[in-house]
Amino acid sequence: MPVDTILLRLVVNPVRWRGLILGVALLGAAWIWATRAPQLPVDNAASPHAGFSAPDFTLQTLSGQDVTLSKLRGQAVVINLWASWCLPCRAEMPELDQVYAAYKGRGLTVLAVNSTFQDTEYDARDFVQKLGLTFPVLLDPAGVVSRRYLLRALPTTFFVDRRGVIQDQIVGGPMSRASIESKVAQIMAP
Amino acid sequence: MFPIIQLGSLAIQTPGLIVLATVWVALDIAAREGKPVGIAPEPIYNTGMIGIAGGLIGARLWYVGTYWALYQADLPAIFSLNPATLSPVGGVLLGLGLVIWYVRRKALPIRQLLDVGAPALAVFAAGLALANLAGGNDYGIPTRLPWAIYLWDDYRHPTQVYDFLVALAIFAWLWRLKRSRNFDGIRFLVFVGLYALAGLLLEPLRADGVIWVGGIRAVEVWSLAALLAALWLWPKWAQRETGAEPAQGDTANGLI
Repeated sequence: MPVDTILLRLVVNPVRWRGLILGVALLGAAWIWATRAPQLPVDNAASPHAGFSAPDFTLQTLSGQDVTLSKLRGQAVVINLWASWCLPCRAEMPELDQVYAAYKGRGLTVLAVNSTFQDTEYDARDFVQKLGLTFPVLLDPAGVVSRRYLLRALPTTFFVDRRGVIQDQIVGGPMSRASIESKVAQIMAP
Repeated sequence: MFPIIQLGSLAIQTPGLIVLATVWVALDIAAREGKPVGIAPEPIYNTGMIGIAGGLIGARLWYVGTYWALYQADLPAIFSLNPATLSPVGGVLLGLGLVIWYVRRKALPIRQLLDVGAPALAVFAAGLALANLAGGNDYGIPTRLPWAIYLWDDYRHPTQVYDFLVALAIFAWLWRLKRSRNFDGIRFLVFVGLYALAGLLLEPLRADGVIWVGGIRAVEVWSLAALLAALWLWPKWAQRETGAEPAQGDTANGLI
């Protein structure tokens, strides 16, 4: 029997209609109960999207030290992908540095990953010196992080919580200090 | 997944572009639907634009209010917009509130307006599904079904495609209802009922839904509430049309 006909027969009779509503409510509640989400631990799959573990990488800083993301587990991490020729990157870097200075004592790390494969190390160094940036600046000469994080536009910023899970991603900029801090507040929770 | 369209040095966020295009198409459809029932395009466009503007302002104000301690020290930052710094709750509240205010102020026929807007809402839902597909949001749980899509390092249910197809099917159903003689508000109730039913059934296939205590999926609860509300309103709106209490054997109303 077509749905149209069934509904027609039910709606003309208030008792049957109330019965339909009650039936839908009971069936719906049973469905909600039966399809509860399993209580699984955090999905360990790594992907550059909110809800997934941040893909791991090891890069060198401007001073030649190795930095591995997974070794920073337990700290909140902001990963900012940038280039020296990118004007929004230039505009938001001082804001990012202020937030880093304010929160590093409470367990925040900022990793500014320079897209060196589409920039130069010389320009990156010059940029960092002129702006007086204090957070670790990493070089990505082969574009490994850009590929792993599916970089489509600069700047792109990922906010990674203390468990290593990406909580948010902001494509484009410049971000204001307040916007950065509001996202940092979300990943700083223990 | 195509989150960005690169035009030279200009990077356009595809999901936002799709949503904007969909809003434009949906408003156009609503304006066309309004003519046969005597509602001019102008108040329909105004209703839509007021809803959108109110939604954006509300979404931003809610977010700023949540982090007021940060923004009060940097007031110009309030106007630095980014989709990631908007709060959907605030958007829905203010957008809907302003729409209700406008409709009452202009004394527009509410149920006819809802009917006119129902196909537009279906089109908007279809566009939203495409935007989610482009941005990789609202992704499904892993599956090995032949139509699975590879997304976020696994083969997954193409939940965005399911949403898109559901929205198109609802649009087709609403289109068919246009030819039927029914009560005012029926197309809106059909939209709400079917979309809510789809939400209830498809949510378990989604991997990034909001989960409440005990594993209860928030979207399923809201969907069931919307479905029950539509069913509860159906005979009331049908009855108001004729002014007669539907009695057993009465076949005047409710025909789809």
